[in-house]
Amino acid sequence: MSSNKIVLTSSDGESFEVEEVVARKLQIVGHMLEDDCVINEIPLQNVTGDILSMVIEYCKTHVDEEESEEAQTKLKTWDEEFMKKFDIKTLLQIILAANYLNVKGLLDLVSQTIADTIKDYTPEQIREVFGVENDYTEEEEAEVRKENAWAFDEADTPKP
Amino acid sequence: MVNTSFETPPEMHVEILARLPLKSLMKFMSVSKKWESIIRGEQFRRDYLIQSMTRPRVLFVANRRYFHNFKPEALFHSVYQEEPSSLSSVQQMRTYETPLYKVSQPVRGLICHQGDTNIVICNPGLKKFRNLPQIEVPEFASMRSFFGYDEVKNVFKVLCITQLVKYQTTTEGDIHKVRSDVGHQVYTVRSDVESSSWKGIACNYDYSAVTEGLFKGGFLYYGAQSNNDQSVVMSFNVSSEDFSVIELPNEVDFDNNWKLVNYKGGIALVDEDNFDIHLNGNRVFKILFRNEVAGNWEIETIEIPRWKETVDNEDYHFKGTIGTGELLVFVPTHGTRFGRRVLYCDEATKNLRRFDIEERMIDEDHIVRTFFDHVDSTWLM
Repeated sequence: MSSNKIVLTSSDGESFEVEEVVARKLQIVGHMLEDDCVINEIPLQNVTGDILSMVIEYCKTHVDEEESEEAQTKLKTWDEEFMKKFDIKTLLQIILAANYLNVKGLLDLVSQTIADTIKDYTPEQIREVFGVENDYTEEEEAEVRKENAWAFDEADTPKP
Repeated sequence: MVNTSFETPPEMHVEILARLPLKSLMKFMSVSKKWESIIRGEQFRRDYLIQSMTRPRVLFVANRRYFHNFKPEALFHSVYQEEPSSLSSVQQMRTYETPLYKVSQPVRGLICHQGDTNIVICNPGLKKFRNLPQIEVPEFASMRSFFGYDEVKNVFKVLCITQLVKYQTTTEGDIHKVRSDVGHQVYTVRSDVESSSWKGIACNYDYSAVTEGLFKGGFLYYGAQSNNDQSVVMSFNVSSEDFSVIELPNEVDFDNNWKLVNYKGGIALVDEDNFDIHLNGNRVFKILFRNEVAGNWEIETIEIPRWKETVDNEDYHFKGTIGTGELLVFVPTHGTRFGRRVLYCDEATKNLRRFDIEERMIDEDHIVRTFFDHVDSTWLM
């Protein structure tokens, strides 16, 4: 494997020198490298340095994905620990970065983590975190809630 | 470090929503009109199904053995098939509204029950029901319903077979079946309730349906007895609504013990009561597997090692394979005391595992039916 180094630059001007195999985990970079093989510095406009550093950390860990069950379990544990570091706002920035940089594994991981984090949120909390405007009238909202009333009942979660 | 002023784009919302439990989705429909329309949308229905198919469920459907009132209780309990002990996956519903004498296998998250002549479609994960219009059943006729999905038009369909059997007493006093009038009707489940109705369809074969149905790959299969007393398997193309007959080897004679099961991507017939426990403690039984390419049935002998030491003296029925076919599954025959127990046998390693699913609502008074490969879906939302 080539040990060619590539420099990734974030929107706020932070630079990261990584091995080409790591950079290629970012599919956006992979495509650029296919188009022109002499690039060694790539500016990434839609992602800040602090988020990019986390994406790079993920890609470094996942650079050689082994098939063995042991290696898979180890990676899974690492993923879980890695995700625990972030609050919901950071997770939402990572999902945007994973989408923009096109890192499929990270996109799946962070989507599931966000889902697990928000599943017990109230609709009000969701609006706040996702920046969604409530466009229901009071009556309409009451109607939708009524239709799905059991979903608001905490006691309905069965405890065997 | 955290920038809070951005808004997450809608395509990211879908990515996240597709991984939420159904209960959260129902709650989040009240976030905004946009979210409601995403969650109720057809595209999302597909995305959500793909996601939830990676986590299939085992579903227990239980009803009281004895009815003390007119609205019998029905219970639905499901957990992830691959990790039956995961408490976070538990879904439960208790209802007194739905008839439960006959229950179809779940298709894309929905099940269809029949009680007398009432047919109800239900999404247990959402706790939503839809009562189908009453069907015209001739007096004294029996009725069976089968549930499937039309993958061409993307609609669920219910096939209902009504059958009137007439008997005649011979001069010697023997009772003979002389004629059976079979009627076939199909109900297409559209989102618009008014435009859905029962429609009679023609079938050129004269037969009586005997076994429960199995829906697989766009076809409904059920065991039947042809008018010259041959056992056959009927197949119904849910999309084109055409019937065809699959003939069986002569030695197969249907009675109530024969079941159709999913087996390694195809269909197989199992005689539930016919198996041996060998002296070495292994369970050995035969199945008839349909070879679709050659167009014939093949007898396959299955041997499960260490059966006796794992299950002791309980009786289990073979329920075919689940997922991509690597796991053979068994459920207790007497679906009460051990009703929430499942046995998995790995096809390659022959490793036999037993799971007891913790559940307190179902007791010895219940008849329990167990279904595999049930998924969460947003139909009937």
